[in-house]
Amino acid sequence: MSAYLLCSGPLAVHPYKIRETGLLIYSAEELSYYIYNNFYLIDEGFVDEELISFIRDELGLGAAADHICAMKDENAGAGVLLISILREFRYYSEVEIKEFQLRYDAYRHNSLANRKVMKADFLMEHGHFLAAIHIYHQFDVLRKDPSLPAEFYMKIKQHMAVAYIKLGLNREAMDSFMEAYKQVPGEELLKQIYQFSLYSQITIPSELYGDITPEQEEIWREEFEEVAAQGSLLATTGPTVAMFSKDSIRRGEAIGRYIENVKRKYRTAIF
Amino acid sequence: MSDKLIIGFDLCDTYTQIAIYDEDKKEVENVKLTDDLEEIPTTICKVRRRDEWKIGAAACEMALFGSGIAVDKLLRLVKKGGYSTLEGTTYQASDLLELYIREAFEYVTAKYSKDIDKVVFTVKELDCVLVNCIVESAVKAGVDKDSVMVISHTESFLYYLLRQPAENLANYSVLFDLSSEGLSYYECQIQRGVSPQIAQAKVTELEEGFSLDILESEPGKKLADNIFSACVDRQFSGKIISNVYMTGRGLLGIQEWGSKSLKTICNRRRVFLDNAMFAKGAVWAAKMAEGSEPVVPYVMICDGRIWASVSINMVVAGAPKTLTLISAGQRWYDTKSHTEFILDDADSIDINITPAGVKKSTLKRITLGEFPERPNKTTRVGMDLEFTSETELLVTLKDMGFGELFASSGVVLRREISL
Repeated sequence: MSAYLLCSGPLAVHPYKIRETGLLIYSAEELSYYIYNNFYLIDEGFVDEELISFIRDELGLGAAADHICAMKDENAGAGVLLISILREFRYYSEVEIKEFQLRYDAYRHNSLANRKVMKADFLMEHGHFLAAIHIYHQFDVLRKDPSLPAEFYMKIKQHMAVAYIKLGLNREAMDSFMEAYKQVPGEELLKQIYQFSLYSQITIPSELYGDITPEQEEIWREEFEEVAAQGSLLATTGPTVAMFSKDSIRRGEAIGRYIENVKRKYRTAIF
Repeated sequence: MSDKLIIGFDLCDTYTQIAIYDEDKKEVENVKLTDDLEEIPTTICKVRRRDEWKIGAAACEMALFGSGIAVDKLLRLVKKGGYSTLEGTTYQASDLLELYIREAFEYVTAKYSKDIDKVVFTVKELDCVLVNCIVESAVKAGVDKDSVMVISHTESFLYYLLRQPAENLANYSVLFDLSSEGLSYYECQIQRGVSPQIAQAKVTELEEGFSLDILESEPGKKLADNIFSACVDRQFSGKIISNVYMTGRGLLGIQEWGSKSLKTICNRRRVFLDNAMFAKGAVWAAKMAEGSEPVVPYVMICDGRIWASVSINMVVAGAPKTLTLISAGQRWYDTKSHTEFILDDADSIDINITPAGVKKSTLKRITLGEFPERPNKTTRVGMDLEFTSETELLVTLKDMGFGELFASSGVVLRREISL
């Protein structure tokens, strides 16, 4: 059923900057949305004095700030504090908050290492590749945690390779793929490395040649060429091309929006 | 005794009347203006070859004798955005009105040796251009903007009526106004059985209006009586009217020319005659606005006031509520509303219009087709409401985006809703 939610107050004159992402928050509703959809990025110290002051002074929600502050003083956990913020702001319904609580609890049940990877993967999904690589780098294969399986490190290096590809750093991507393959060799990863070499024109390291059969090579090459052909079609009809086909005024506006978007992504990728 | 004046200023195209509140007598009195007249022509005259201005009868006299150049029908000129050229200099109508108001203020403040605290202008018909011009003129003449108000004659009549002793306040009252502006008939109905109580007045301009000059001769008086009594018969037909009010220079001497009319009017009715009813009503409006008089316990519905409430069904702190954005009875020209809300699975805005005293609302829908697609609950809308007339509501909807998470598209929709 459609509805209109009355805003809790005017937009803050002095926004709150979220440490983890650099994002500026101007309202209680934005803060609720950020918590609800980005809890992977929220660390233990998210609800601090600065945030409570922002809620009290900038959003003018003194009663909510007092309540959150009291819970914090009683050493409530991070999850409880986040849920109390969501409840105070009433942007989400009780059903939605319960659903959030389930997701959050499931997330918290993971090991610290897994939570870090989930955070990095989340950043990847949202285009923050540099930030994701920064977290992946924290898992050094030379100083492996014996409690974590080799597959864990393989996945990390594989995801890291994808992040490098997204940034156009092909040499670093190939190195990451090779490190992943060293952890757990497998056909799927081998295929990925082979097709990436075709894409990037970087020669496959010689030690892998023996692992690829001529049949595999033929099939993977055909698959790659098919995908590449589709990619080339996209490159001539995609949104960036469309942007340049506009008239001079609209082109300027579209480029402006595009650059602003890139700048925003860059800004939020640095921490 | 108060050291500042509270003024009611009846400003018409042809005449001006001013009333003030007498702190000593605790009542409103009519001010004798230039040449000791309680009513002066709304005429301004520039003294030849001098930067000097006269208003009222003095202005007419000066023009008649050729020592000045007069401009009349100032309000009509302002509404048209016109101008007048006097001795080679072009004056905008708004400038002339400002000079007129300034001269009138100077006269009254000099007469009472007091500054103006609050002034309420009352005009026959409210018009945006005219209202703005009057307010600006008064401000330029030294009155604080918050101390200036412009109301309609209908509203003045309501204020005048509602200040009457309770025993004189009938459920249904009428007013005849016969002046150089024409003949007007006002009806006021008070609804006490509803919550809030409503005092509603409306005006009808009657075609039977006649020039007051005909009252100068005996045959003219007889003709005027015949015309007016026929008009009264027609208006009273089928209605139970207990109180009749009369105002205007034409009716001031009705005992001399309107025996036939008075016979009908005074038949088992209470009749009240007051020459400066609108100016006095404006004084009461000023007194209530400044807070020195208790506010009337009625929602006033009349010319210049909004006859319906504007509301929207909204979720407020998690609970559904009907949020009244504009209440019936407010003045349309200075009523504005700003609300910010978030769309929850909504692609249109539904606005409720509820006439005063009626429970059923009419729904007006504005579709938001031009707003960008976003995830649910990530579009903050800024909604501004203002009236362009008593019946036309201008709704402005702005896509405010959702902070840095979803930037505003800058889309602004403007839709006019007819009540």
